Amino acid sequence: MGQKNAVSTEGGASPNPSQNDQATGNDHASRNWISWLVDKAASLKFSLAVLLLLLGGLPLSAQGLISATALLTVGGGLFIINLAAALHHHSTFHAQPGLIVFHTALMVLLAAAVVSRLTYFKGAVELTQGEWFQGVAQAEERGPWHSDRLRELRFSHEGFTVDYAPGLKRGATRNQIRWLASDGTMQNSTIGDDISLDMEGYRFRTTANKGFALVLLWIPIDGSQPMHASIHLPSYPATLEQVRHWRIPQTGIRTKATLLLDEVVVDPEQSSQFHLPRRYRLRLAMGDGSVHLLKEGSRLHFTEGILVFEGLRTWMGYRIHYDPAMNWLLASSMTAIFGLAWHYYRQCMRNRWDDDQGL
Amino acid sequence: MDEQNLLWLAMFGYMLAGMAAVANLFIHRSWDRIIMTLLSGGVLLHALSLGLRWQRLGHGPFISMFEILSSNLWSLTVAVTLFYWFYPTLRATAAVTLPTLFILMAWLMETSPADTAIPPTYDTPWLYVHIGFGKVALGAVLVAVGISGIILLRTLGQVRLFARLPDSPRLDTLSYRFMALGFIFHSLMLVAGAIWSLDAWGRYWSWDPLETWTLHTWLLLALYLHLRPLFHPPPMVGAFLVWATFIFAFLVFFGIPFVSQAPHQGVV
Ligand code: HEM
Repeated sequence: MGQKNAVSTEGGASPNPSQNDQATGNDHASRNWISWLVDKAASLKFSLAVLLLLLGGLPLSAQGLISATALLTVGGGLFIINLAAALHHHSTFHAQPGLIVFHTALMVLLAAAVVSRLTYFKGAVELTQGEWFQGVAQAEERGPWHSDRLRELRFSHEGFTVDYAPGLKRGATRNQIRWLASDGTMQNSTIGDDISLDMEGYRFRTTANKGFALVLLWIPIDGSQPMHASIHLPSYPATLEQVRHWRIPQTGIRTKATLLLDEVVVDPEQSSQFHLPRRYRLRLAMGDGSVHLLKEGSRLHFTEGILVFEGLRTWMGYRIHYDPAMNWLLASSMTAIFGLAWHYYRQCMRNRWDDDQGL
Repeated sequence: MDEQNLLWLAMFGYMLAGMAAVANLFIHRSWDRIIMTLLSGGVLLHALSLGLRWQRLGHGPFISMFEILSSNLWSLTVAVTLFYWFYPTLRATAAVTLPTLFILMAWLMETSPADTAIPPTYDTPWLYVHIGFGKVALGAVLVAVGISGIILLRTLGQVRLFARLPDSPRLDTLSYRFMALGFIFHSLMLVAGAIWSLDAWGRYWSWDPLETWTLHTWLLLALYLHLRPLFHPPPMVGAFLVWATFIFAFLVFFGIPFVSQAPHQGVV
């Protein structure tokens, strides 16, 4: 730009007209080229192609054949380009403010969906009663750009109850927890069902996956550090047979642990509540065929060490969910729906359907 | 009278109304009042049946296939009845919409009305909002199906039967508007469903079969809504697309819960 001005003030005309023509021609060509590109990017054929890509891709991603993140990022990105070009290019939008609101909000929605797929986190963790979450999930799925702040979060599972109606129909879950707030203070809360623990954008929720945990202490004979272990028995009362195979850590001692409940915990015949039983025993069937019945506090001697059955606790399975784009998704989708309703309202007010003009 | 008998009686009313609506086309008698009475009577009895069950079980009719079919049959008949009332010139559309509902009735008779229990996570107001929006959406699309049915029947040569109705381009316009209404409520249903799902299971979207296929329906509706203003297809093509969208939506609404047992698989 500065170059062109300098030429015209100095000589009034270009010293080399053909060169100047060529520059304008190039400018024209590139502008033509850009407008051709915008034209193509704004076309509904392009939308249709992206739509078909998404329509074809969704069932594949639902079956896990392609990554939903890749599909949404590519499809969403193409849609955003398509929409932006269309808003710029189609004059029909200019007289229809509702449609502008709708398509712009749709663009934001798509952008939020892409951000969501790139940064989300989904995970699960099981905690024994009294155990603190150490910032690591046992199962997880995450977007490639997820910044892992989960490591800093701490909460502990302090016990729970679940109501059951006759026929083992699950009712309310109440789970007591302690958690470390961002200001460093310790807090107590009760979560369950639709009440989650929210920390730094991560939501921790109780699940139907929960049950009894056998807490054991292993004291090695060689004087090394005693070790605590907790065995999570299968989810209760979904699985009534409370059995787990277990190997004492750092030994070759294998056992089959069975919890024997000497009282009814959840009665299928009447309303009851999941709680820790008072009367129970632990049956340990060893590899050599011997069987031992342990009560809380019982000890079992082996050549390698002593196994202490410290008692029964509960364990709870938590689901973890993180999505920083969630509020954007909600706001943009509501705006989009509002824009569309506004558009159609205006249209219906302007023309009766049975007028000659119609829509 | 118990819930089940009230339901049978209501369905009998719908059936008679449907047959009268079809016969009306050929006989040219005005049975409008009879049809209106049968429809509103049926809707009231059906509402009573659903209400009694709701009160007895302590939750709305949306857990089992029987409940889903029955409540949708009710809401769709309400849509047809309201349209019948507010658009007297287009009452002939009932000859298309009511027989379409016969499929739901036949299916309903096949399913077990066994009692159901509501899982604790279903117990949030957003569920009712979600389902309510879905019913309005499907109702609006069914009305569009009725209107488009007339256009298609005309194309198939049945012009004389519908001679007194507005011309096909005008019908196409009205049908488009109902599809747009359906689209708005379908979108609201998706948003309310996401809020419910976040409340209930801690995630707003998880690509379960029903969610995935509902999104397909939404995209299909969007496709239809674009075709008309941008390509001005003849009414027959528009009508065909309305039917295709409806059949797809119908299969998603009723077929996916049928395949996956629970409305949203894996959540109970
Ligand atoms: C799934 C995403 C989309 C949805 C749900 C959607 C929905 C709609 C709706 C409902 C209308 C109103 C039609 C009417 O006037 O009745 C519309 C119009 C329009 N849309 Fe979209 N749209 C989407 C994506 C796009 C994209 C990607 C483009 C880019 C080309 C686009 C371009 C247009 C244009 C140009 C109109 C104006 C049509 C006219 O009135 O002449 N839309 N859209």
